[in-house]
Amino acid sequence: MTAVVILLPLGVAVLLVVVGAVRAWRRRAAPPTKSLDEAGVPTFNVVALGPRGAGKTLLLASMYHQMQTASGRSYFVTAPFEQVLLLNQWFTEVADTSRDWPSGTTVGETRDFTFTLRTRGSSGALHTVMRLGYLEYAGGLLTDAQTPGSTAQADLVTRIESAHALLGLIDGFRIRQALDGHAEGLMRLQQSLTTMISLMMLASCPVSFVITKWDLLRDLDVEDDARLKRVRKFLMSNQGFRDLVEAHGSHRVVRLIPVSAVGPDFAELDEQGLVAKLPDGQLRPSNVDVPLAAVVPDVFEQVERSMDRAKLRAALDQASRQSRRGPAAALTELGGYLATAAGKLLAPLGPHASFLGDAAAELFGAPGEAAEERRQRIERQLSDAERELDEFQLARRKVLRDLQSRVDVLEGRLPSSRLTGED
Amino acid sequence: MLGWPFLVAPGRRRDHTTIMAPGVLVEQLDYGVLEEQTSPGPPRTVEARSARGRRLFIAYWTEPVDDVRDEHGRPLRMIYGFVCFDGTPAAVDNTDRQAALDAVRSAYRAFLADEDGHAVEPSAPFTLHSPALTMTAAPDRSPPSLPAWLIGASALVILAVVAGVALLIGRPTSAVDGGPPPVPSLAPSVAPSAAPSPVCAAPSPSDSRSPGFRFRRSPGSSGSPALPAPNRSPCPG
Repeated sequence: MTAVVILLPLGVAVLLVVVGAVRAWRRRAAPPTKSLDEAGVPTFNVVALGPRGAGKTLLLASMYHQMQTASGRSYFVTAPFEQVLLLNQWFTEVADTSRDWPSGTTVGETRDFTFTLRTRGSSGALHTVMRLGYLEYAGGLLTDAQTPGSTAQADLVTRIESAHALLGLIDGFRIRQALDGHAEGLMRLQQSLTTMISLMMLASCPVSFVITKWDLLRDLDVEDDARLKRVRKFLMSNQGFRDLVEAHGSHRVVRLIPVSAVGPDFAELDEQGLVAKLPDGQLRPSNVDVPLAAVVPDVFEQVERSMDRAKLRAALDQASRQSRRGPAAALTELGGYLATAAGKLLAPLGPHASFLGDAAAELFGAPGEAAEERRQRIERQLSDAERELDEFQLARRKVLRDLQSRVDVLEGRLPSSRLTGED
Repeated sequence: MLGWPFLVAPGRRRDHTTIMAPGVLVEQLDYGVLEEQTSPGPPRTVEARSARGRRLFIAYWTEPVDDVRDEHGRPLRMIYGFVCFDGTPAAVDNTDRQAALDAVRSAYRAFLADEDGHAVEPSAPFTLHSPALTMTAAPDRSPPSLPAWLIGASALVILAVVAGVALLIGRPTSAVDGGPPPVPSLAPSVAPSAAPSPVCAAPSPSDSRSPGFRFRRSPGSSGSPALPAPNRSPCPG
């Protein structure tokens, strides 16, 4: 009787504990509800490395201004409203020739901008394809000693180490000064290259170099590619820069992208050698969308280079043969394979296997295949597979093709934009 | 209440840097919070914690620097104000703003004259005219409710233990002659005394914020600040 009195409530208590614990575990394990559009959308984080005044903020504002509408592309970019307000404020400040340039970014203004690439499907429905994260920060964090009691610099380095792509911003103003024999300009340029080298040498993600304020170098040569070739030769004469390009060139594409956030007829150097707006300046940004457009194609080009060709070809062929579960499932399976096989670069994007599969089908090419050949091959493969893909996948693949196309156009127009170690 | 002037500003070549900071933070190499928690814009007061955990309140303003540009031709802005360690000002008196500005001007001129040779200047405190905000205890957080199954299970376990103890105690022995001991009552034997009614601390007019000032909790601060709790509780409703 005593045992019953003690054991009965204990037994009921144990039962209650077990039932309650199982229910709590099930609630935690249930995935959060996501809309169909949000599910499977990866975010690629980009960090632009540039000292103070290199043009990080203006590039960002100009890029958003240009990409917020489709303008002949299959995609456009949106951002959270409070970020849009800031970006528009900066762009307005730049565009107004009666106002000063925007002031420099402070440490307290460090923030993440998130750009969502969207596209419209054939039915007119809006689809989210991917996101791009861009870190805005004070350039002095890269060049000045860390302030005691601040963690901003250490946080920045962590972000750099985990980025999907790095953009090294080379100030066109400093190149101008250096080419003009200005000692201070040459010293500042050297300082920024040294900083970039130390941060990029160990990077395992795609790296690109962006020459900002390209409009200040327009008098170097009439022809754009010849101008770029001359600047490229000047940069490659720096041993550290050359070593950096060589170190990366064997594993991944390294680009040299000239951009101008304002265009050729907006600003010039005044008598003091400072960049001043022209009273009747016309804003015509150039190539500001290319650095971000190149991120995904360059990530996949690196993955393609790093993987065993035979195994990759087999995986692609299997996807294009459309396994009995259908092309969409086959592409997801391909994406899963890539996330595992590509190592550190794609592992964090493993949950987005469908995206990875689509990107691989669009962006991977046969050895020696030219861009046009790749396009025709994909068109042939798509003609059957596309009938079975849903609208979202079709729209996403079109965007990925467009991103690659943007890069191809740049390379076609400016062959010198693809850096190798053989210069 | 005391305030310590501070200044964060850029130079022609150097990016935004701390030019003047409270002496106690400079001594402890703990002034990085000033750069991290201030940004150009309208006047603000923010609560923050330094890297060493020191709680502080920063009241600051942004002002353009006339006739000086950076090496890229961009205008300069300085962020200046004062730091309090004892509490936040309820409203900032313009006299205090002026005092802070006067304290940092010469430091900024010295910085612009020799940016590379600059070292952070420790500031001395001055007595604020701004009234201190009366601190009220942080609102009590209701404890997280336990799941019903856990409460039920706990009650049953307690019941089982008590029943077992009672049975063990009540087991008759040879030395005892008499009836079974009374079962202990689980109900409290003393009626609860009436809880003292809380003194309602209605906000006083002086608690209202100065126009143009926003009290912003810094993103890095964790939860409610540990304020000294006066013997009052917030008004209900």
